[in-house]
Amino acid sequence: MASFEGVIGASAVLIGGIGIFWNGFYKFYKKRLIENTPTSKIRSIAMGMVEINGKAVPPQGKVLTGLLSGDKCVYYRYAVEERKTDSKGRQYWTAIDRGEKRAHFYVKDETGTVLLDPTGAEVDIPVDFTHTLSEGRKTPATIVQYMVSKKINPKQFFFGYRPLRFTEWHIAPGDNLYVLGTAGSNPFKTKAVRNEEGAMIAKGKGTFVISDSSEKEILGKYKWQVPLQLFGGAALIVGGLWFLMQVITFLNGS
Amino acid sequence: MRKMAFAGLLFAVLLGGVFLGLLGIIAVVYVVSVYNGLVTLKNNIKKSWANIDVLLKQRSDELPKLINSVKGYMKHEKQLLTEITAARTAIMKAKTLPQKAAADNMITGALKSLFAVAENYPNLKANENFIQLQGRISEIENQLADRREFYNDSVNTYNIRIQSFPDMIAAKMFGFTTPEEMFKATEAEKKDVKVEF
Repeated sequence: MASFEGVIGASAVLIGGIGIFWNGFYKFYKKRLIENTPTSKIRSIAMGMVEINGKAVPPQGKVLTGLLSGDKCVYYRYAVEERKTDSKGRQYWTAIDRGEKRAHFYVKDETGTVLLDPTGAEVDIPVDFTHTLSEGRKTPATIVQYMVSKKINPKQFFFGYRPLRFTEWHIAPGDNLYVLGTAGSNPFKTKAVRNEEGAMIAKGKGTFVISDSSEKEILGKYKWQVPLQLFGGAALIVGGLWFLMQVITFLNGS
Repeated sequence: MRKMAFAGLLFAVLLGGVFLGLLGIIAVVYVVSVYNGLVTLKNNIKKSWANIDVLLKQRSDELPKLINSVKGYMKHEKQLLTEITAARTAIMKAKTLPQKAAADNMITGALKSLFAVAENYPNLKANENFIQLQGRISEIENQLADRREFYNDSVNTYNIRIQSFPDMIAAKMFGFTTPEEMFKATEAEKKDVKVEF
């Protein structure tokens, strides 16, 4: 039984190592792409892969409302998780619902405004709202409304609250954004007066990133993550193989 | 016992091989990504130059209309109008980047003077056609300024890549050694542009 657990453990380390190693390559590719793409001013945006900085602006009368926070936004993503305990008494969070809402919005810099379709984008933003159900802590009305709509019972065993955690990430109007995507023709504007009016940034063949961190901050993150994941992943692969061989040797010996 | 020791040695060699293999993969991917990155940067430079050229052409197309709309009002500014026409001819004839940059500078300067002088002609300032052309040319000028900056950023990124360690090793291996020129006209280059009347 112990050796079976050993094989599982070693395989997990090996697979984890491969995953981390692969992710390191992906981040390295993305880091290079960000470094190699100069930032465009919105008014002079050209078709193809572009990098822009600007503020999020909702289309007139089309602002979204965060499902859990109730805040005005142009994009949101949420997760509802429940705390569980495994057979060894260790606690962990498991997702019971996840979702997001994407709609077209504008990005504006000091030179102009361009339309953005966030479908298919990798949205890299920090948590904006979090709430955990507990006694003596008022549950926001938006969360009560969400639980009613999803038929989630907040109580357990007739008394006390279920350990539920609600998290939301969103892009609010006015948030500073970094966008790396593909500029193409704006399908909603056939007669554009200004250059940028005729363009829309969306997912093309390449990477599509929306972040509220600056380019410098994103690159700063990758600077350490890339070597750590590449060499750490390689070390885990070798460690996992070594562990696996030890278990196989032990099994052969016994 | 000896069999176990041999198996242990075999494992160690195998693990060492795997580790070296992974390091090899990292090295190969790094070199390939440097190569691909340099090709992308070269193409970015070409593309951003083409994007400038499109605007230079658009602006050149607008200039005769502008001159036609102002010449009736600005009879005493013949010299200025001739300068614009000459600069337009120079940019049409320019082949190299420094020549285009110098001619572009001439047009930008002449247009600034023209729009400044236009302030003295209230009838011209009120002319619908002139207002429209002025707006259109100013917009192209602004876009040109951005795209020049974008072009120079592309060139700068490429030049830094081929001159900095460790990318320069791979760059030299694949023959990416010559730095690209920025879109900037030197004084000497500006003088080299011959204006024929």
